Amino acid sequence: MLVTWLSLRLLVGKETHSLAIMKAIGFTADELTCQYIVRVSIIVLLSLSAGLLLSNTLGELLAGALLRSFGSAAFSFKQNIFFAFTAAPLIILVPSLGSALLIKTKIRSITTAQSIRV
Amino acid sequence: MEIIIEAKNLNKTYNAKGEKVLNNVSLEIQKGSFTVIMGPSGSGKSTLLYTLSGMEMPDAGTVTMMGKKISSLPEKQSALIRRETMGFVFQQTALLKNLNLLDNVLLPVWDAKKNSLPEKKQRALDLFAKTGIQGLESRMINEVSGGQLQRAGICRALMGNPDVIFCDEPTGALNSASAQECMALFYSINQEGKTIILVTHDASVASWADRILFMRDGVIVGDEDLSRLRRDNLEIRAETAMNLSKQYKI
Repeated sequence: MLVTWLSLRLLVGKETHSLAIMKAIGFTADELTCQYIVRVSIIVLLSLSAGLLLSNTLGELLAGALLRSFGSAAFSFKQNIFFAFTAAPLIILVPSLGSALLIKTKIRSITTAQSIRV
Repeated sequence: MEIIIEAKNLNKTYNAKGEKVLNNVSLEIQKGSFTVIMGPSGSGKSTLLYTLSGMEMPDAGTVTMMGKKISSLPEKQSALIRRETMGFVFQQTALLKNLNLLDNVLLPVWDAKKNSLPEKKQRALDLFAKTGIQGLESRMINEVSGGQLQRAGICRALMGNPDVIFCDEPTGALNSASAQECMALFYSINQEGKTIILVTHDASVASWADRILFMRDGVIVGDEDLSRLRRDNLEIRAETAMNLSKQYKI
């Protein structure tokens, strides 16, 4: 969560001028925060999909090959459907969305007039 | 004439020393007027513009626009009023880099329910034609000249059909020919009944206005009416504006 929050703070800092313009022409901090929530959601959902796909295809093969090189005779994944499809995605999704929500304070603090003049 | 904006005893301080950027400023703006605010750097002219538009809150005093006290509204209502009744033109870089000109112009009406997207696009294209930049809709902002960029900025300001257009040094980054073309455009918009409030330090730009407010050290030191001067002789108007700015030591 800390990493996501810091990355978002950096991103908002980089985009301050654009955000100030949008605030000036009538966008609210809520609407601008929504944009970041959508962006974070898309990245997280794509990452989760890629993770699930890879772990169910190449994951066992690669991990098995690695462990065989250390001398392990047999290796297989034990599937936990609840953890893989519910708990783990939530563990990643909830803090990421929380960070995006927290960024609203930073967006609200942008002083439109001063940021546009920069 | 109807008063569209009324400011009373505006005070604003930025720094810790307590130096006032706006010092008890009061003024009235009439509907359909073309007002220019002139002053040297740091005189408070831009701060006054942003305070009048509700973008900045005064430390003390009130701003009333069309009967609504906008200086004390919550963020959401203030944003809604800006979106529906105001247009803004800043210096040329105030367009979003990752959008093309058409999308930049459509931005203020992105969620307006009054019109469908094709209608909004048509209005944007009409504005492109009106401002003389038709055919540039799909260009990115680094693919057009400063003058064209500013015209796109004017299109964006007009997109929501606002009552008041606030302009902060709109010709600051333009050459003199583009600046005059831009001002002619503002004048024609004003003639259609839009109220224009424009900040500049250039007398030739100010000469297009009906009224010039001179600011120094956060105070309005002069309020001059130029509406009596003939419109067809811009040189005399510019000379008058220049003499007035010298008179007020701007």
